[in-house]
Amino acid sequence: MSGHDSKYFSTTKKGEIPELKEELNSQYKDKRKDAVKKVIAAMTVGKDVSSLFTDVVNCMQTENLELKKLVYLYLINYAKSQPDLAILAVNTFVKDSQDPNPLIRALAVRTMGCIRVDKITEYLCDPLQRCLKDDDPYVRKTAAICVAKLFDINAELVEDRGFLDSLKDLISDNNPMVVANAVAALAEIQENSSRPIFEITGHTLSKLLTALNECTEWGQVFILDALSKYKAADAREAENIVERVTPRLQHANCAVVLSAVKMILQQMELITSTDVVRNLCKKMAPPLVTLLSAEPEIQYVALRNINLIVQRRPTILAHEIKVFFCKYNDPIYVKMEKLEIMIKLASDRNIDQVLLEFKEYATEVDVDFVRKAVRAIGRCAIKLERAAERCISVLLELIKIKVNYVVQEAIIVIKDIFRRYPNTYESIIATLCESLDTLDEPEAKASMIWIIGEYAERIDNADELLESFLESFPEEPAQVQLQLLTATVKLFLKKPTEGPQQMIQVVLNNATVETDNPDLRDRAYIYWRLLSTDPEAAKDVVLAEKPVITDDSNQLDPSLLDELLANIATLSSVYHKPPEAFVTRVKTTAQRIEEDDYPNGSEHGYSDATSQVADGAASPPTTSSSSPYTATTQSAPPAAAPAPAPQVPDLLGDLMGLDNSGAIVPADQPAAPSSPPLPVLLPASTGQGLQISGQLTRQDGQIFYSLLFENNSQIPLDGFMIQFNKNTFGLAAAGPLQVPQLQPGTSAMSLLPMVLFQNISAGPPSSLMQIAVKNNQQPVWYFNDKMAVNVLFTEDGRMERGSFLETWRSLPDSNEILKEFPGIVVSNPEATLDRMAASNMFFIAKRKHVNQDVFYFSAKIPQGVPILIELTTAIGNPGVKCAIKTPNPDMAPLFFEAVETLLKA
Amino acid sequence: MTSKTDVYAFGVVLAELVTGQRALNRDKETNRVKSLATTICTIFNEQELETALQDNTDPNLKVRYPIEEVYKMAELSRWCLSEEAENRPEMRETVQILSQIAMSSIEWEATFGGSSQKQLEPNVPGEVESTFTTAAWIWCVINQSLRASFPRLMAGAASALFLLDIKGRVLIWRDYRGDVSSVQAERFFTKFIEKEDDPQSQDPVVYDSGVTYMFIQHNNVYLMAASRQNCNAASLLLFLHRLVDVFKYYFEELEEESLRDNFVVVYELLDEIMDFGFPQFTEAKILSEFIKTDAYKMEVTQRPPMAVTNAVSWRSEGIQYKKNEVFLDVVESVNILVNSNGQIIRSDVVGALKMRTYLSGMPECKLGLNDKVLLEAQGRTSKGKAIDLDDIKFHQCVRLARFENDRTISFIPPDGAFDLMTYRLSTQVKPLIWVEAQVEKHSRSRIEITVKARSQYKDRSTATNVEIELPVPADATNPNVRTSMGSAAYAPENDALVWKIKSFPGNKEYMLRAEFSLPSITAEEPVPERKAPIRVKFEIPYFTVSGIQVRYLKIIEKSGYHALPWVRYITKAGEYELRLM
Repeated sequence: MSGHDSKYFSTTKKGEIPELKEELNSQYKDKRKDAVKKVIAAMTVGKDVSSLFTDVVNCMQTENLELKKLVYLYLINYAKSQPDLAILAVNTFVKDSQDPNPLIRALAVRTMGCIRVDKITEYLCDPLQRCLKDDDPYVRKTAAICVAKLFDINAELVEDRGFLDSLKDLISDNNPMVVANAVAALAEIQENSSRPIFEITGHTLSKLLTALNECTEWGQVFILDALSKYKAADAREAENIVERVTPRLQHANCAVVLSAVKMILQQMELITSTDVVRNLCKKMAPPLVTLLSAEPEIQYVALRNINLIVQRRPTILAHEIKVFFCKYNDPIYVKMEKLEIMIKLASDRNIDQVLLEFKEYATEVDVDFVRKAVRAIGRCAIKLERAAERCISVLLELIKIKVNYVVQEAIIVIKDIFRRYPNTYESIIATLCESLDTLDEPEAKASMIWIIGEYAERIDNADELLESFLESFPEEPAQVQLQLLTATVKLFLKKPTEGPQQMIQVVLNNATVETDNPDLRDRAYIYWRLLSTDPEAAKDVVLAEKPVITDDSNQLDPSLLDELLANIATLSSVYHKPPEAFVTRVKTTAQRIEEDDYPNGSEHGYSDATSQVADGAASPPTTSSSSPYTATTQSAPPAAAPAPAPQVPDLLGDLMGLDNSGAIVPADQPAAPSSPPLPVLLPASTGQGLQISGQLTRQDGQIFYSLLFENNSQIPLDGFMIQFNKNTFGLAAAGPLQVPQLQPGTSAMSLLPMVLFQNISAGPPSSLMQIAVKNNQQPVWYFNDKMAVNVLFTEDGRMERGSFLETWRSLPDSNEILKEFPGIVVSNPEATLDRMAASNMFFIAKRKHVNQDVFYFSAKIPQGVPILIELTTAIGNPGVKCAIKTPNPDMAPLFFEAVETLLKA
Repeated sequence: MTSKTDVYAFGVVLAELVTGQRALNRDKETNRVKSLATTICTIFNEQELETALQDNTDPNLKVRYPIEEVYKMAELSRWCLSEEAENRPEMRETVQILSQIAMSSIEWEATFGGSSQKQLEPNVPGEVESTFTTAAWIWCVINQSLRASFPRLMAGAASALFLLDIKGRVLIWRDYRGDVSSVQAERFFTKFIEKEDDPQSQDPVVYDSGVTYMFIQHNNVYLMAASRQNCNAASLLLFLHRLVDVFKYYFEELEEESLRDNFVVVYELLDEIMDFGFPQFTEAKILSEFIKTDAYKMEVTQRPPMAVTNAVSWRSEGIQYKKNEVFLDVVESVNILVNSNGQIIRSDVVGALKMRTYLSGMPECKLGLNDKVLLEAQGRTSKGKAIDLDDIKFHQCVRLARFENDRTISFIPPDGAFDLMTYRLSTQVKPLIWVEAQVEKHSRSRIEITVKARSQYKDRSTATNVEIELPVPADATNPNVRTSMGSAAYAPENDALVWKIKSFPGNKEYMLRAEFSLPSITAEEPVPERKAPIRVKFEIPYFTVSGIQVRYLKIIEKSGYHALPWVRYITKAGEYELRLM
């Protein structure tokens, strides 16, 4: 079926345009057609043929479909540059849109929508109206998309002429292709509009799920993508949806499969039955694996998505690690992604095989791939304690090959391994030192120097080794200079002999006088002053024990992960970035926001519409009545008579576990939360009417942030989100904040699950938490809260007497911190013990000392750090002496706070 | 006067921003003028630094700031206010730090994802009023830069499609949305392929100044979709592959020449298969019914075929054949990966049911396989071997809901050739052809390779067209090869020795011995060698690894004709790799 169109590209060089002009006006049909083809050929190679506009448009009125298409194509390209002349084409367009041939009707509407000239747009409306109701589905499906085009050019026109309603009607069209295109158009319009236009109700949902069975593959993708925004009302609905979507996993089209996976994962969040979830995971694994047999580009997208999926649901592919082993012919971008996933799936069970693979990769030729493989070994060592030794021996084997970049990469990861497992693997330092002179990359050099400094006392010739670097100090990159500086100081502190002393002079001089890098200079000055004023203090500072690093193998922040999972298959999931980080399209439809022509939160199901518009589907669920952590209370309006006696148990209190007595709300009390009021964190006066109160609580071994939001402003507030700044314990939200839209005068409680060790701030321990809360209507609110440290105490903090004594003895006396609480009276020791026990501070023993009682308690904070507490008091008399002994004495002040609060209560 | 004097002045401005106080103010108690510089320094001498800082921070900021950033700003201010001029930072350093502050506060808030469309007004008039300070304004700017983003974009479509030559120049392109120009795309892409050796830049999805480019390569042509939205990447990339299929159907082969020769049809196709960046229709066979090349121009049915919008979008009505036939090929590809210890680390079988239908009318087909799940459900386990297929994928003609319900494979097939279904079997399979190679390197002079190939299937089967590709060092010369069966040829362009055996019966073992010369001079530095695996190709007719069987293929058409299905089975090598020991 080969054509011979290439001849149209070779036109006579001289006087091309006039010649074409003449041919376009020829009286012979064939000649005119050839001329138009030549014009299009010229356009294709980038010549400007806009001057022929009138002549080409004259050829538009033709029975020949091929010629007509070419003229239309020309129009799409040049109408914008000749807006006035473009009007000439309108008549033919309008006529064509009524042609008996549906192909021509559709063609006319399709093309008109592509001509982005305002004057033409007006003429588009009538034909479009007709075509949306055309008998032929081919015309209707084209018209549906055309509405989206028109919206892009002139949104107001679309709304004024009622096209949105016509489009919504098409969702019920009997033709699946029309339905799919209508969905695509509506989703697109919704995205660029601030108003709720396309809302998926239970009704549309079931219609669309039915259409899914009959659509073309691309249509199925539109529908699945649109439906993934739908939030099921409860677990049962979610299960029903999932049931109807799972057959799509069998589709040959990978895009359909991925979109189905997205939708299933979204609904799974709501499903509570573990059996169902397990079953779904089992069902999703084979299709995900099969995606890896697709074309490499698709594999790439699939792998980027699988990377996200295994972070949320590691079990899905836990047994499938082998499919991620690299094949020789995989493109490099596929290999790199496979490595990432292999690290994520590596476990004690499969590590041997994985290491064998990594070792294989580390001897390949592609430098970046090799480096990544070496790094992968290091990351596995940090992740899997039991495999660390095997990982190290593989690294040492690799170092022996003496390939320069392998050695450097290995040294970088070994440094991390040292930091993860201090005092365990230092025996290999000698081997590392052998490769010293091959290092030429800053990061590797810096790592090696760090190792030498850190273990100077174990390396006989540490001073010589460091000295060899010193000569080139001024030329080294900043990273290396900083490490050299620190390492030299460490060396000097460990071996305060003449050699190191001279070295330190040289380094300090270099780092203060001869550099203009402020970081280096500041660090040097600090060391200098420390060393000159108090060498012992310098020792404490410089040689202090370092915190052990943890494996974070590129874990994403949970809220970002949520968002990315909602965006599976899209670019967002490929980049691992939220859409707004790269979508730059500037929309002009914003002017519509100002018009307050729709009520906020009217009963037309718009209640959470604004948040949906603003957040799109990607946002974490802001409204979900079924969420176990959310409860809303509508406090009685101030003027109204007291509410009738609510004869229901205080669900709120039960649900939240705030009311320990479990009492039923007395009939004469307003239906407000009956638990003790939470401390106010953000007063309404500061928060433009929004008041936030909250407190950390501990329930069933988990930490929650119990929050109360009160809306005293005049507007409904929605789209609440919360963020925690770095803090001592790395407390952060484990999931999105679930607060429904707050009407003026209402409040909502939310129990936010928290996780520890997310974003740990350096510096002295502090119980201060910085929190930021935002919503869609107000600026971001920042406020502070003091965390009650006792919520950290874990349930397993009880110690046997023996182990208590042993721990007490094993800790040096410097770890014992004392504090007196002069005003506190313990009159009822039993009650106090109960209270302490409720906070996971467990009573160990009691003894008499003169006329005082001494109580011992144990507690534990996560990661197994024990806290031993000794309370000395005379029962009934004021004054309690509290001693705390713990491996982390700098945290003692926080624990004092906790003890004091409990004793006072 | 030096530039460091200006730095000092800037320090005062920063202090004003942080505290919201004037540079000089009168202390009410002592009635003495106090400079702000002193205040800043006292803050840093305080024990409770954080509290002191909070107490001195501009009250107009309320509590709406991350304390860390305020701290950094105050610290910078103090640095600028250093007594000794030489201790003060350079102006460019302050810029750096300020931008870091701006960055990190953005970072802190980035997890919010700026999602509100309304521009926020952190300072509501009346609340801050005249004392509206620049510091508040700075926070305001930082906040707004976050919030000025757009609603979370989910749906999305392509802006334009490009067909480019091997150098990245645009051959033909179709603009769908008018927001990515061909000049822009060409400029990006030509630059992009120039630096091809950078593997990071080889990802098939690339971002460049607001536009995402997704591309695939076929022969000497690149097909590329550009988008400014958060479009469905999987769908668009797959669409590009389908586009290749369509072009191949039309022009037999897709390459630069065939595109040029048919540019009119290409434009027509690009107009039909995608609208406003949404993929529409990619069934080449149906497309060819209303978009014709010159050769077929004569019989004009210039109406959209029903199929385009029908639920059965892959088949037109009114097809007529004199003889109604169906050919069904069951093709299984064995993928295997053996590591250097001789351990099989991966093996799976990917099967495909390839159909060619020559059937009249709209035939209803029903396919029966020896599917374990189905047979067990029907309580018929006795008859022969039933198989358990891991992941089945169907052509869109198969009714998925029906399959999910009762495992019936029912469909109206497209006309001509298509893949009805594919499946995967991840059970461990014994390698059908086992290859062992021993490589002996005699120091810097020659290399000896001894290869044993063994067939591990039953005697009655025979593999045909066996091809064993053995990697050889790139610098090897003077091959000297002997084989006990078949012929071997040195292919220096692939650094490989290719051993071909026309027919390889079951349970046989063949040998190959090869010797190459190596150059005596090698590089000083150890350089890793390319470690290609041994790769094997073969075909075994009348045999499947899985044991899949077509039990029946029922064809029912309302005209009542009889059609006979022809079924063939074949197994071949897929990705069959054995790493050298």
